[in-house]
Amino acid sequence: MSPIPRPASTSPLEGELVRLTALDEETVRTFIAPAFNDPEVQLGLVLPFPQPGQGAIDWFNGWRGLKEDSAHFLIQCLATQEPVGQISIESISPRDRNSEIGLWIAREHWHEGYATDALRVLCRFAFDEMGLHKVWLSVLGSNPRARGVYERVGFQLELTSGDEHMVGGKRVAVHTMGMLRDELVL
Amino acid sequence: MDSPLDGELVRLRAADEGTIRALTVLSNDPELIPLALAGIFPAAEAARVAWWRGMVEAGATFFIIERIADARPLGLANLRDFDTRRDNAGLGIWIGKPFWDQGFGKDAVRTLCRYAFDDMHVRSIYLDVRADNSRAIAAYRAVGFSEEGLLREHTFADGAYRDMLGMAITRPELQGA
Repeated sequence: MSPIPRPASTSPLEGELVRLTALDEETVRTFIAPAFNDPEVQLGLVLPFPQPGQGAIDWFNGWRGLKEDSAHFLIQCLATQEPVGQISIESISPRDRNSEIGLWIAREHWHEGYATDALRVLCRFAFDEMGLHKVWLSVLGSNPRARGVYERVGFQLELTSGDEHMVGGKRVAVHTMGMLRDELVL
Repeated sequence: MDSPLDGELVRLRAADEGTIRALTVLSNDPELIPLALAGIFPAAEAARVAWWRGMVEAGATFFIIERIADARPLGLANLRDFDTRRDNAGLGIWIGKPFWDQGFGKDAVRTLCRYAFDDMHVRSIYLDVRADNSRAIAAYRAVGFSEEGLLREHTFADGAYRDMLGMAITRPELQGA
């Protein structure tokens, strides 16, 4: 098993466009809480409604990097140092060596390639630094753009829940996609 | 039928600390654990109680599976991750090894699904099962579950990564209830 290649940068948390960095309370307050509450962002997620700003801060303070079963990163643009989104690795299973990934990008930064790059960085980190065997995620049938990004990075469709998720008065499918280490597409 | 929680062979009862403790010996069976209890290892009664309490705090509903004939507890089932927007819930179940292949699991799953649909107003129920656990898969199929997909190399047990089969059921698909 040889290492997954990475850009010239020396940090395992840097890609071509983004760096994954630790969250801090100030960034949660000024960026995460408002950007996450954008209704367009939430349509692609499985949360039912906007969250109070204090909820994001309480969530962050309850986590603070202390838990071994999850990690949450700020996605930062390398060129401008601006925060552009958040990416998480959760439900880390020590026995099964797998984990669920979740991410969102602030609406003003959609279509700029950040999600693709952030996913590549996190998957490489999960496989080569955390020693995981597999990563997986869920995507709504109403979000084909996200599914396209996941496919491009190497996620494969594994399960489609006939049980459907309510979005805008319609029920849409929920897909589970998975990626094994040698499937990551750089 | 007297109670919506009575099947033909088994009755579902609310789990309490005493019954969780009483099931510890059955749940610690080394053959059962890799098949049905993902991520759960042989554990002391206190650890089983702590796990159960954590699941209940996260919103899970637990049922002891009891043999009607002699009120003996045979196993444990739960419904968890109730999701309003998806209108579904996840099902987990295990039956102690001495009671395999006698129809108890099938009866318990059927009874639990009927209760979830008719009394808890859940629209669909899903579960994961090791793809090589043909005994369990046959029971789920007989109850009316169908396959939704295969999670590749999704669990590690008995020395290798194993595929997990995802299955689900809705009320019209439930057989014999």
